[in-house]
Amino acid sequence: MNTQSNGYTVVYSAIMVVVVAAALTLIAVGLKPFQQANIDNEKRQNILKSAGIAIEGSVEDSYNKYVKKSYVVDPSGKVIKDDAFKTELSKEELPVYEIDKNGEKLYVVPLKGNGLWGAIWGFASLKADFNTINGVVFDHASETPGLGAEMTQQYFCDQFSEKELFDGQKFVGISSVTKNNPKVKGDGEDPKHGIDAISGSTMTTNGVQAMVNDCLKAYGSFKATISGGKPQASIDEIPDAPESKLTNVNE
Amino acid sequence: MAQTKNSELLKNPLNLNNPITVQVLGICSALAVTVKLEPAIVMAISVTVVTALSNLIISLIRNTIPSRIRIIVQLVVVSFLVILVDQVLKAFMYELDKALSVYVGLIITNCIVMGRLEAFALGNKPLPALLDGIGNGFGYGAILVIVAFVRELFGSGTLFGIQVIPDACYELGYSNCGFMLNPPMALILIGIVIWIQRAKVKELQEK
Repeated sequence: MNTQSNGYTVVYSAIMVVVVAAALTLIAVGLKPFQQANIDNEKRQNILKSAGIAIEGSVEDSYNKYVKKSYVVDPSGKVIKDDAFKTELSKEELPVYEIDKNGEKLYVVPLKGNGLWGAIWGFASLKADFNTINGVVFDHASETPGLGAEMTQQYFCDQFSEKELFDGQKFVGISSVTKNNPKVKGDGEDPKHGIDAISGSTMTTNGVQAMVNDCLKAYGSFKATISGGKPQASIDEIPDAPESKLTNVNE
Repeated sequence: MAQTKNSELLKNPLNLNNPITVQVLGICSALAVTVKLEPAIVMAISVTVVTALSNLIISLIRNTIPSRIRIIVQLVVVSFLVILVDQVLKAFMYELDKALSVYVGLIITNCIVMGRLEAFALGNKPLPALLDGIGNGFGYGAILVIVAFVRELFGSGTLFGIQVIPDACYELGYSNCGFMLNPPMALILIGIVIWIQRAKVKELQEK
């Protein structure tokens, strides 16, 4: 057979593509359950890490030991679903994980936002008052290594511990010091709300700030329900957090 | 080439024809994944699997490949194997897959793989091609393991994540060399490996 003819070349490549595509599909489908198990375990690990709990033994055992219950609330603070694990954070569905850390009650909530180059996400654990941050973990899809990617580092995350979200009834959230808003006080001067930005990563830090504030603010009504008061009529009554100015690109 | 003994196909890439130190191919990933031994070994195994199987497959179908699209066929075979390796790692070695990040995907562009397909698999029978692939994978892996061993030992004081430099040394003032963890040190170490190899092996010395 003439292996150089046009017809042969076309048929050859067509068959090759179909065979390879079929094989890859089979592999992807076959391995999917194992991969999903890994992704779930990473999520469990991050939930525990944000609460400052070290994993003992298998991730799943630790998770089952510490996470007492989880549920999904709607923006008015009403529980709409049990078991938050499979629910992604969205405007209508806000997952909450309740953790019992050796007698200390913690709430863990997911965070989702945008960095400079792509998605950023994480978990925040809040103390029983749903006001004081206990700890956070962050991760990112494609921030710059050495600059924005530093957001996952311990030294940056540690700053969020003991920060307070509300000032009385007003949502203040956290604000980061950058070149553009020098009036904001940093971690050292404002232990309640100030965060030192990552040098050279204004955009990523602004993204982190917006993510933390936006996501936690959405739980405002839920906080009102757990702190004994009646649920607030509407989320709109909570004043806006200070806007971050996204004007400067340092990266 | 066709007359080369099978044992030499396995042995040559380890020393006389080493893909990294002699052919200077695949340096990029060698710099990136050698901070610790464990990812280096997984990377070495992954590359060996890809070079061996792609050599075998291309050699099996070498007489049917239309020569005008042979590079495309090679790429499809290599990509297929790399995706296979990546999917398996994601399923069974998730943490390591995250540590290796883009470098598993970049095996596709590793010059060693394409180089061996073009230079060897297209013109040889399946068994020698398979051995050539394994040999080159091992040759690449050997350098990775040597470099990773030195970098992890002096950079982190550990081997496979287990501390080997006793605490007593740290108390006496010894500290880990942070520079070892940076990519430039991998380049310098590979340079030193090439230097030692050339000093020992007469055939490699230029006159």
